[in-house]
Amino acid sequence: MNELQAVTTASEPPVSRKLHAIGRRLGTPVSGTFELTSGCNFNCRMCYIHDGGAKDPQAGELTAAQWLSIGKEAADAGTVFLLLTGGEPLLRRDFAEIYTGLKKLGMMISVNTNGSLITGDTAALFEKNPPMRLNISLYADTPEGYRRQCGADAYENVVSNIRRMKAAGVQIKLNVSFTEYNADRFREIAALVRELDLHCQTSVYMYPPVRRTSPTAAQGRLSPEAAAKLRVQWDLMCGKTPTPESAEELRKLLRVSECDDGNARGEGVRCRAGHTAYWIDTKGQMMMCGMVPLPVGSVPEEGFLSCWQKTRALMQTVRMPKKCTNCSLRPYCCVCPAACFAETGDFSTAPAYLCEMSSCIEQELLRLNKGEKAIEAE
Amino acid sequence: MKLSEDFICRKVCGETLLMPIGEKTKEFNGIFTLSETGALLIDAIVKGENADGAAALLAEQFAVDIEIARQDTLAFFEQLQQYGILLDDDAAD
Repeated sequence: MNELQAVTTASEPPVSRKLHAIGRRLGTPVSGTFELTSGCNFNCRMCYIHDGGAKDPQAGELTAAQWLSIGKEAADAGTVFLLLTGGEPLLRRDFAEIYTGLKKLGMMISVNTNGSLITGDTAALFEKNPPMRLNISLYADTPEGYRRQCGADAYENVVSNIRRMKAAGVQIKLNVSFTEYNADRFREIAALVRELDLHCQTSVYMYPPVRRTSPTAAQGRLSPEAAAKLRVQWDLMCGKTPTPESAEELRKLLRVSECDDGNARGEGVRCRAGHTAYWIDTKGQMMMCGMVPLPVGSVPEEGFLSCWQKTRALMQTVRMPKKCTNCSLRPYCCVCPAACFAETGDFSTAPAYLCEMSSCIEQELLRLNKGEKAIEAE
Repeated sequence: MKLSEDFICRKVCGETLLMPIGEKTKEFNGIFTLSETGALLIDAIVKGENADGAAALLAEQFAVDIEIARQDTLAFFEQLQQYGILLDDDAAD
């Protein structure tokens, strides 16, 4: 007999993929995000949620007891994987209470953090009782880069904390987002990532700041052309640029038969949002995705299951633009319902930014295919 | 025999999961998934059965010879003990 299968968490464990696959059929909320605070000790101009200046957790944000109560309901409903995020979640003085309480419920916890506050008691907590994974945003490779991008003197501290957590055996993923403030240093940032020898996820596409309470134009976002060139440059460095041939294969796979009919609707939600995943904001409102500010209800007031059912119902109404389904640029495009909504305020309108960006990626790849040198990212 | 308080047993999407909680995650930061027979044996432990009682349940539920069920049960319990999931009744958590 083989009754016991051990699964470690260096990458997404197979059991996660299995539970999400089963959960998709059953409508089980296998994973969720708890947005503990919108406060942050950084002041990144491109942040999608933090308004700048508000360093402390804000009035109206849920208490530790409320988060633990929601956690209990979520666990009873089937949640296994939970992401704690912000703002900067480690700013909360009661973070340890929330974190340890949720772990006791049998949750596999990941934490999104800027890495600057993993010191003292918090560092000791993670060393003694590690999360499934720490997702640490790496914004720059120099102190000046951190000042420029984040308005914070944090570089040395962040890198030191990353090294300490790594030495303690804590699983870490670095998140690197490129903006106007750090794109010129992408090679140096790549060198730092290599030196730290950690898994890294990069993004050149920046969502508009849809969650800021005061309307602010997206600041620091790369132009579609600059984002495209950087995407190709980065992928080239990683040796994973798709060739036109492989892109054509992918394009065929992406065609969805139900959408080939001219009368059919566009694609629905392909990712886990609303199928097996949810997002709860700082005030306890559930959304299908953090980038889609359409709360379906208040979890503390209506209960978790009621909000989850509403989230699923909303997800089932979502349709992407029909033009995206068979678009020849799709293999290069990161379009999704959330991106459509964040860019245009409508799920079924194609986001011009991404259309332009994917067109530029294709042009750049075609140029490369002809043996021309990749154009330097601006 | 008893389950260690450092682990929690959960049933999600029809799967039986054994998960470390608290500082036990320092030693094992993952999830144990149990087969149908493993889940039955864990349930037996939670209900207070000893190895013989658990083996009898296994033999009955899966229509296997009691001696084979006993051997498999003891092998499974040994695995659990190696991970610190299963403790003797008088062991402190």
